[in-house]
Amino acid sequence: VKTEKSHKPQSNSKRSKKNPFRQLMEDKERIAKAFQEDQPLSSLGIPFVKPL
Amino acid sequence: LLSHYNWIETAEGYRFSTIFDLDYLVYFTDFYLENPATNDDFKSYSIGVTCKQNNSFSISRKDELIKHTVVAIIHHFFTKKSDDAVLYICINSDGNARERKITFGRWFHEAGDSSFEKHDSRRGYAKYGFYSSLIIKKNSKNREAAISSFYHTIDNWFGENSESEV
Repeated sequence: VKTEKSHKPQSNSKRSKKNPFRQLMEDKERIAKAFQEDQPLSSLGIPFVKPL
Repeated sequence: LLSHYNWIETAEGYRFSTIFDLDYLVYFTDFYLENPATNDDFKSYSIGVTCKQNNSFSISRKDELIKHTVVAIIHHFFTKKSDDAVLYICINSDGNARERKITFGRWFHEAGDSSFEKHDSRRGYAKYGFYSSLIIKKNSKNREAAISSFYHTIDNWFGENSESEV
């Protein structure tokens, strides 16, 4: 099982006391808005995965 | 004939433009599920698709190349992440979450790649406007953990013992 403990500080688990799905939907809304307005996505603080 | 649009890779994802001058971004972000077997995090990824001119999948239905491009990007992603799981969640700010869920499911089935499988959030959570799916390769070594973590995490946050709503 891949648990990636080294990533724990970035975890969106229940420790954050915030619904991770709600957080993800909020992030998606922010991404959509920034993309539509030509704002830099890098400033959103969202953990994007770079293309491989 | 193009089988899909060519894309440009950026730090945030994959960008492509259509013949109708629509600009799309397909991106992946880290996403952590809760593994019921270990009570630890299970790292997965989320996928998002957004259009600069109109953040709606309704446009996508008219241009099959958009579907083919998104599917090709997902395949590209899995070439190096073959044991990982990708979660799709439908935003519902415009009330179209169900339509997005249907479109995503249709694209998955039309892609016709039997090496992947898709798992959907339970229908009961639709009352919250919550629709999500997990796709993973059938031969992934993390298959069972990913699937159980997907349902466990949703149940934790939307189940009867949770006060959370979308």
